[in-house]
Amino acid sequence: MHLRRLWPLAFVAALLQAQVTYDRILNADREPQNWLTYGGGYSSMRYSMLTQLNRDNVKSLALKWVWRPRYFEKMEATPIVVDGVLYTVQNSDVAAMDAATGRTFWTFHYTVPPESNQYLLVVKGLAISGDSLFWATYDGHLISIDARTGIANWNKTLVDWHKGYQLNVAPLVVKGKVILGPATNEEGANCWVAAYDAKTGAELWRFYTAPMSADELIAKTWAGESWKHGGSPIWVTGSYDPETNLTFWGTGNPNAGWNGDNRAGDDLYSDSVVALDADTGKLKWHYQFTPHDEFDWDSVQVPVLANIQWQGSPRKVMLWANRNGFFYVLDRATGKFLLGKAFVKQNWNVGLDEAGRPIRSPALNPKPMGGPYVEPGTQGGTNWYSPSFSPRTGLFYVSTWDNYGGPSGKGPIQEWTEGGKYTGNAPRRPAGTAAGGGRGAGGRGAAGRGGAGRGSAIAYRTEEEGYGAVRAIDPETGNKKWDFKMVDYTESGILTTASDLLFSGGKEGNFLALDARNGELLWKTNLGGTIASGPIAYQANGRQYVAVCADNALYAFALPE
Amino acid sequence: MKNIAANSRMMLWGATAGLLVLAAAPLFAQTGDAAKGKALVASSGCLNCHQIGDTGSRLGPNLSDIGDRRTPDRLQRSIVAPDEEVLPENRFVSVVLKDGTTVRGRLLNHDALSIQLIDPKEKLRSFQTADIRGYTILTKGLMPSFESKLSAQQVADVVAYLGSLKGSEQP
Repeated sequence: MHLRRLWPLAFVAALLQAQVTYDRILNADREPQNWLTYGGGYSSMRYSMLTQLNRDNVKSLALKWVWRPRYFEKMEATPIVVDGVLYTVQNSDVAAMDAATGRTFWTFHYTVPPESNQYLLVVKGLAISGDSLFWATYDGHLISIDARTGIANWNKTLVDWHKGYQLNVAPLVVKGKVILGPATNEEGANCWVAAYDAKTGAELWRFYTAPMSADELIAKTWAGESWKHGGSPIWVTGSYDPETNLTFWGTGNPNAGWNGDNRAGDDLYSDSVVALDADTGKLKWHYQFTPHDEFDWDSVQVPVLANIQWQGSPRKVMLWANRNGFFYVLDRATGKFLLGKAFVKQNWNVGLDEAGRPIRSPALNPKPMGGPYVEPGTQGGTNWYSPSFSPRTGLFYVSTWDNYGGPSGKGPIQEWTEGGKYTGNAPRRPAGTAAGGGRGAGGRGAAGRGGAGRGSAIAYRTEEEGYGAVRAIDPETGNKKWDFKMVDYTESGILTTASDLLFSGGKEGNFLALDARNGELLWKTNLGGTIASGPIAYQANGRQYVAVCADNALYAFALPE
Repeated sequence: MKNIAANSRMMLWGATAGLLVLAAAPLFAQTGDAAKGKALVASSGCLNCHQIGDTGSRLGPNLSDIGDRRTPDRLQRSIVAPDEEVLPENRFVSVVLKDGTTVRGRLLNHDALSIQLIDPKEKLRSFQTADIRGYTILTKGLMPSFESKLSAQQVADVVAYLGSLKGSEQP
């Protein structure tokens, strides 16, 4: 049991190996060769300090390797890269591979029952702390995996998927706490954000995003007992501000999602951002983007923490382009509303009051079985796709769906049953008819059937009928600075770099490098399938790589040798 | 330290071990003391290469749930005659770099153009074959026999301890 001749000090040497500590993640910008969290760092700016690739040489970018898991679902995961090793996840496999070649070091397999996911059998990614990876499986497990060997350290069941829960999010690790929350896909299971001990998996704190008792103050924002099935899921990763020790998480829509008749009130904390003390989970502040939502406008966007000039002074803010079509700037220490401005065509909100509360157009109250026509449509002005902020350009970049809408999806509210759908949604209209119904434009209705959106590689629609774009926004004004328009919509995240490059893509399969200053197209390739993940940049063996998932494969690019 | 049952690598190891035990040498009948065995494992350098729970090295096979995957007879043979069975996933490799230095570690993967291993510092490493002089996969184990170093009773104690390692329950 000890090796003869070789490596007598192996164990001692092992103790000297660098681990991914809190300090390393805190200072992730000091090691741009790595990509240590879902958003690239605690601020979730998805901004890389690497500059080997620049506006002059990016036209020579070439494919270096492809990793294809054995599953067919589209990949939404953002990889993690640590010291030359890339880690990613899809369906039931977590893999560690050489970041320079894509060759696999190990694969960890845990069979996730497909029936436990009513979404798309996707997972957003992993987290790392110390030498352990953390994978939240959609059947409700949180698994700690040894990053060196691919062997599980522990496997804890967090939620019962039979009760309408799933885990879809890439966790966020802060000071030894693995922070995440469950989602419910319109099943009326009340959700939360919680922290788990990275060493043991023991739960350390929990913050409910919907009421758990009638005695809670927020229960009064739900009529009657509607709070019991309020949903408010967690779909994407939060951010962390070390100065205030606050972690920020966006929450999803209330249930029943498309019919709010039985839940009169604001329905807190649905469609909000909650600022929680990272040590205790106590709420410091919240801001609700869409009170009493009946349009499925989850606030499950990644909070982007930026330090910007605001009215002539430096200010620490949170930037947020919301599914409801508005771009927001909040003071991240206090939650104070600073700015709200539509970034896509919208007709539901006639203004925001001083506190940032939307003034909903009375003409836009949903009517049963369709109508009125609401902009943006159900998929929103953007959705879960990660935006980016470049401190160099001072611009915020977001993947957006513009010029589209659809009739409200309001329908009868089902009787709630555990694990069953609780949508208040109208029956879906037959494909090819004019209206999109509850699934909205870009789905199988208004934008489907040969148009932009899902289901077809052929596009017939005009720009006036809807389009996707990479959009650059000036945070100080909310004004659009430039667009890179696509015909089809986009679910791609965005990466910016310190050499003023921007990488993104879309459903058309195009993977693009743009000039972050003006949106000029600098390089393109077509990967043959939808790009629904966030690109990352890293360095291995002295060479800068850019990696992105398209459909069910991971692609890595670099300059030719 | 609970290994997920569906871990395919571990399943392969377990299945192979199960087959091999059918042809194993004389059944091991000595009664061992697991507590003494635990102390022997700690004092004999086993953890320089093996990991049990949170302790030890990732270089060699992880033993945290070895009791679930090997019979006492097979465990006994792996201590006194470790070269009898070295599963492919436990092989080591010696890589000679262009400057003549040698890197050794447990083989994780290789193809026509590259080779991947975990080195004694537990670092995952990958080499392009074009960048090295060559490499040799060691089909025999690097673990010494303890037949002359431990008494039969001590071997039984170690076997009792290893047999008790079933991985931990979920926290």
